[in-house]
Amino acid sequence: MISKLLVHSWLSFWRSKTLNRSLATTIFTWFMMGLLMLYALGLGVMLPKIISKISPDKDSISVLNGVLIFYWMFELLFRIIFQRNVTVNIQYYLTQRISGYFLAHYMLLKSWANLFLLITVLLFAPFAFGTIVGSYGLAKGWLWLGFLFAVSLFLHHLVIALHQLTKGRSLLPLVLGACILLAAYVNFAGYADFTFITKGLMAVVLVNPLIILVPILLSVALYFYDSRFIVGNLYLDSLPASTKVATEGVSSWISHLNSYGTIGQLMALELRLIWRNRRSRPIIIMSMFMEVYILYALITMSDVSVVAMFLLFATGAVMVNYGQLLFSWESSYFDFLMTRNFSVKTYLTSKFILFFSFSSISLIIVGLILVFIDTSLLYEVAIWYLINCGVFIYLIIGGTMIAPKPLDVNGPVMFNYEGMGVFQFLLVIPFMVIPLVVNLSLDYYLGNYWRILGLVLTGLLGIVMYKSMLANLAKGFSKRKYKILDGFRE
Amino acid sequence: MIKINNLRKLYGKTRAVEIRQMHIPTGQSFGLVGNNGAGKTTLFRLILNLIRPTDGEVLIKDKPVALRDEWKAFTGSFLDESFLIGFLTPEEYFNFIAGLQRVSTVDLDSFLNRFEAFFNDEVLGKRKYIRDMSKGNQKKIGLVGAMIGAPELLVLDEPFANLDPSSQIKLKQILLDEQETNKTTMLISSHDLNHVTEVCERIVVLEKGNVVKDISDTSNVLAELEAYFA
Repeated sequence: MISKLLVHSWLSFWRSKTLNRSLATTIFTWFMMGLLMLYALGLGVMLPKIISKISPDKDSISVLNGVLIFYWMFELLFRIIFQRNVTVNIQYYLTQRISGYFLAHYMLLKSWANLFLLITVLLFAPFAFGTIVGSYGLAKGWLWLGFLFAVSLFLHHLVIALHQLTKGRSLLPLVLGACILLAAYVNFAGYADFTFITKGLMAVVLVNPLIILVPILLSVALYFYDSRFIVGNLYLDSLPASTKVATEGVSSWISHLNSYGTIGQLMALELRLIWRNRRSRPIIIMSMFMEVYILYALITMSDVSVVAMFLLFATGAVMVNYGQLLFSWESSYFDFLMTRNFSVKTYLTSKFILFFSFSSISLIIVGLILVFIDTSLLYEVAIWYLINCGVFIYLIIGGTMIAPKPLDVNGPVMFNYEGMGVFQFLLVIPFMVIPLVVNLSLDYYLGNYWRILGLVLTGLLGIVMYKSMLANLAKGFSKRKYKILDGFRE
Repeated sequence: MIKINNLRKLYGKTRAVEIRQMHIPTGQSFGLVGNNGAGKTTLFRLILNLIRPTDGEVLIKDKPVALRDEWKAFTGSFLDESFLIGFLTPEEYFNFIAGLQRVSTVDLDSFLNRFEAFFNDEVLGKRKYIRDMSKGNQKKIGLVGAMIGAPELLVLDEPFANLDPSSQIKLKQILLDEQETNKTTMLISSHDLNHVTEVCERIVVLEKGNVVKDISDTSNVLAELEAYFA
């Protein structure tokens, strides 16, 4: 029986729409997964060196143990956002001669085959068998790694329970994410010390091996809680893919946009699209974190050329990551949009204002942080924000027109390259290359003053001329309209 | 209302639609029948400027649909689920269309009241997204959405399919009322010969993209169609 079910899930993976769009996408997906594994392993191997470089005068084991608190918090956050609901594809089996408990155990055990558990091992095994074994012996090395694995397993089952309870819709990721960032800031700015929690915990674990039973027992308890929950909810209407109640909170706020004419209506539609779909929402949330992270990287980096590559992303990550698939997000109802009573220019204007708002909100957030830390960096980010809005918005809107592919907005988030094509990937390159080239060459040939003046003027000019820019893009769109529609109907 | 000149749509070498001349006068209810693959949906998509014709053109109110957007202001259409926005509630979907058609909230409410029986208390106020509703209810939402703003031209592909018998009968009455009160020009395709002959005053039969019958005398149309398709 188990082998049959496993064959089914194997087939559903290989024959899925997401994967079978093209061979290139399949290869790319595997490539990215392999790369991620390789990165995790590489980072794991480098870990002792990295730690000794950051804090050379401290014991690297206790430093790593201390940081674990943040690792676990981030793991929890990523799991909440990305972990797939285990009961996702079992509706076919409900009417078959398979017992509910069997299904529940099958789904839960199968869920162990996931990237998070693997990454934990890849990331920490080198450290465990290198540094820990070196100081404490082989048994303690296994113990240390085993404890981390058990905690990961505990988080795994905790998130399954959370998903079942919240039905996947809550503000938890945002709240948790904000808390983590705050805690990390408080910790690393020196106002408080959270690292002593895991530092102490792991020190105790290394002395008392039996403590490893705590996360194991918690995992077992949660496992049985999860399985009981699943068995009790093996009905079509309690499966995750089924009926959900429409949310009110954010929606009522969004509906205010409706009073701003057709453009406002189109923006409200797009915001609802982002908020209510499984694939689009995490992209926005993750991109916001990415912007804050890039900011951190910008502050710590001193190399001018490297800084330049990330300048646009500091206020443009949300715009780029979402905008890459601009028209594809709406592929499922594009026919409808094209028969409705508004002009292409109006439609594109709504996209422009949306991206403009994304970037401006990012600038405000980034600015609030930078104003206390590094004002010269703030000027640089602000200058590139102008270029974002005055140049790159048009590049995104125009670029995504070339070959958009259909996608399922409610599809999975992780390693889902549905809708991605060569053009979508190429679109990102100018965002990294142009600031680099401009900053280096203009600085060299013209000097800093003229570089800043040139960039500011270009950006402002692009923003001021948005009407004629969008009119031109609208012409291009009208020419490509049938091709886009044909592509979406495939 | 609609004029078609030398319209042709080829997919590779396969001919999907080929119509030399056709004129659909204002206020006419025009029924399109034909077996699967006859080109009904393709013709509707050509009329709505969703696909590019290989040759020829479609004019709505004497303006080519491919070049001008004016027709969108007075045309309502529902072809398939790609006209629905799955992550909206029905109310939000109707509000969206009403906003685009410049229909006020009050007018929209009184408009929707007319469909209370048709909706059978399964559509409005359910706090459910359209993607989570049954095929039948989705169809109802699309059909009613197409009628918002009293369009002068209504294009519906297979409006009776997927509806339960009572809803089919109610829909027939709704379409007849619409013709009566608003003098709406209607383009309706259907596999159900009974319904389409009751609603439409002119029936056109398509076969492999060609018009093979164009019947305006409805006295004996059903028997004629049954003889043709038998």
